[in-house]
Amino acid sequence: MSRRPFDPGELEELQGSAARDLEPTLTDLDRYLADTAEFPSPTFADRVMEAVEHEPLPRRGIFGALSLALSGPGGRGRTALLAATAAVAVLAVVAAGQLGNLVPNPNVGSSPSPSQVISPSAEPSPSLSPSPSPSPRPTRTPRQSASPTESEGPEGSDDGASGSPEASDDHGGDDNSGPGGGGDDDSSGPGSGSSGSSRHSGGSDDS
Amino acid sequence: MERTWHDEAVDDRGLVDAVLSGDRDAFRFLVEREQVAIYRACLRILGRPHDAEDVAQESFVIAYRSLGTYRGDGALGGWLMRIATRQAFRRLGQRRETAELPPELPLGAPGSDPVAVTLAGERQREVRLAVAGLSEPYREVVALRFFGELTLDEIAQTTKRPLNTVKTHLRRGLERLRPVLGREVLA
Repeated sequence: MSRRPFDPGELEELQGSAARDLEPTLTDLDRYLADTAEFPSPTFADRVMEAVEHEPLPRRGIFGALSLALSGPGGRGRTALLAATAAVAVLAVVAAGQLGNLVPNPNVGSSPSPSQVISPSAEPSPSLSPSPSPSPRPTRTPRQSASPTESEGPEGSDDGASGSPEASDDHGGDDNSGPGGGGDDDSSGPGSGSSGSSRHSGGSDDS
Repeated sequence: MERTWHDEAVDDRGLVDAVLSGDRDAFRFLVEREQVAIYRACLRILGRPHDAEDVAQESFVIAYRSLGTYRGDGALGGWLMRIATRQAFRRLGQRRETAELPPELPLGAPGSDPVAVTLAGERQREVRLAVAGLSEPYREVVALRFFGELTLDEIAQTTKRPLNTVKTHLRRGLERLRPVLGREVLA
C-alpha cells in the first residue's frame, strides 16, 4: 500500500506563514506515520473470515435492493414498473386521505349515540357527596395553606422528607465528552452503535 | 472456469452485491484488500498491535453485518475506514476508563539505542494523545486523513460533507494540534 504523505497544497488556504506554522506539526505526523507503517499478522484475514463464518448473510438495504433492481437485465422495464408501483402507492395514500375528509362522519350532525350520552343522575351519588365530617373545620383549608412550618405537604409526597422538591433525575451528565472517549454520535455513521459484539477467533497473538 | 476476485478490476458496488448474495470469497477479497490500511489506522490510534488487530477484526465484522446499508456513494475503503476509526477511538476511551495498562512499546523501534527507543515511544504517544484529544469533527477528519490516509475527496464522500467543509475541519484540527506537536523533544 502506498502512503499518502500530506501535501499542504491539499488545503489551498494553507499558504505562506500559515503553512510554515504548521510545518513542525506535519513533520511530526509524517514521522509517526512512517514509524507505524506496519502490517497485520499473516493470519489476520483468516481470523476475520472465521469470525464472519457464523454470521448470517447481511441483509440488503433499501438502496442496495433498489440499485440491484435497476441495474440488472431488463433494468429499464423494471424502472418503469417500480415507478408505476410507487406512483400508484402514493395516489392510493392521497386518495385515502381525501376520502377520509369527504365521507361524512356518522357521528357528526346527528344525535349522539346512546353510549355517549351521560344520563344525568337525579340524585347525587354517595361517592361524590362530601364525606360527613363532624368537624366544622372546612376540609379544604389545610390544602391551600402554604405554611412553612408544615413538614409535609397535604399531598403527602415522599419528597417532603428529603427537603428537595426539585429532585430531578438528570444529574451526572453524559461522560462521553472526554478526549478519545468515543463520544461519537451513534446515529448516523456506518456501523455505529453495534460495536463490541464481534466474535474474536482465537487469541490474537502478535507481539 | 471459476471466477476469482483477485484477477479482475472490481468495482465496490459489484463486490458488495457479491457479498450480499452469499459470496464469501468476495468478502475475503475485501478483507485482504483493505486489511493493511485498516490495521494501520487502528494501530495509529491505539498504539498497541494486539489491540489494533482486535479492533480491526471487530470493524470488519461490523462492516460485514451492515454491508447492506452501504449505498455506494463513496469508496468502500473509506466507509470501512470510518467504521474502524470510530471503533478504535471507542476502544481507546474504554481503555482509559477501565484500567491503566503498562505503557505501549514504541512501534518501529529505531535500532537498539534505548534512549532513541524511549524518545520515539514518547513522541508516538504524544501524537496519539494529541489527535485523540481533538474534539469532533476535527478528530475524525484528522484521523481519516493521516491515520487512515484517505484523500480529502474520499473523506468528503465518506462523511457526506462538502469538500470545503472537510478542508476547514482539517485545517482547524491541525491548528489545534500545533501547540502539542512539532515541539523539539530534548534528550
